[in-house]
Amino acid sequence: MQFIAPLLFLGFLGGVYASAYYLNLKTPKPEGCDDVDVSCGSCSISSCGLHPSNKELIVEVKS
Amino acid sequence: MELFSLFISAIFINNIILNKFLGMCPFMGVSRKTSSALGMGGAVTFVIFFSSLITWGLFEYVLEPLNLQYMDLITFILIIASFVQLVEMIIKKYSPSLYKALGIYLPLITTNCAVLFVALENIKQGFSFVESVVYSLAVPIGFTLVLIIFSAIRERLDIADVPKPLKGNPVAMIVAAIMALAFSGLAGLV
Repeated sequence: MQFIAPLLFLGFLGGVYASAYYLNLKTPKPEGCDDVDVSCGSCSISSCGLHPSNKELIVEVKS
Repeated sequence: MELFSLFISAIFINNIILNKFLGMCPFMGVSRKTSSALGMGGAVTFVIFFSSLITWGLFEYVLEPLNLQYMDLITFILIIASFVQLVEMIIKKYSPSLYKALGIYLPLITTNCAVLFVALENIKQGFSFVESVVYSLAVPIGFTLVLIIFSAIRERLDIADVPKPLKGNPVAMIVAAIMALAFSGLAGLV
């Protein structure tokens, strides 16, 4: 019981998150919002994949 | 009276942004337009309020009786992440303009330390259910209030004659510092 309870509880929480993630993934994005993920340019963390200086890299990877 | 003090102090005196310096990412990122700031404030309020109440209940009625207190962090993170997915889904469906305005900052609410702070603080301070409700509502109200005030100032700054080296984020940081000083003057309020 000492080991099973945390594993079961963690599995339950993981299931809740996976369901929420799946439902969100299935919800279609509104028109014109397809590239929202790569439109960030606010902070100065240049190592972030969303930083404008890495935009070319993202396009290269996509193509 | 104690609940009222808790409410006022969480909004003005122990403000999550200007006193604890948490949630700085959306504070700087989504404060360029007042409409986006209002939307972000609403989304963060929803996530903080409901996720904090659920985490409080889970801790009191599941984790503590089962002696699983050490799992509080992972539990709270998963609950918050699930809530953010839910909020994103709702905004995606019912408010495309807000979805576009919030952009990358919407999924990033998951990593907003202010959300986790409230969930953990409810436990650490040993708040009752009613106190948790008041605190979980007051903190995001303080967050939204500061975000809206800051966005209104930034809108004015955009058309102001700011020296070139200070344009953009540098002058915004100076304004944030002055706002923090101004809010610290409210320390003796309650």
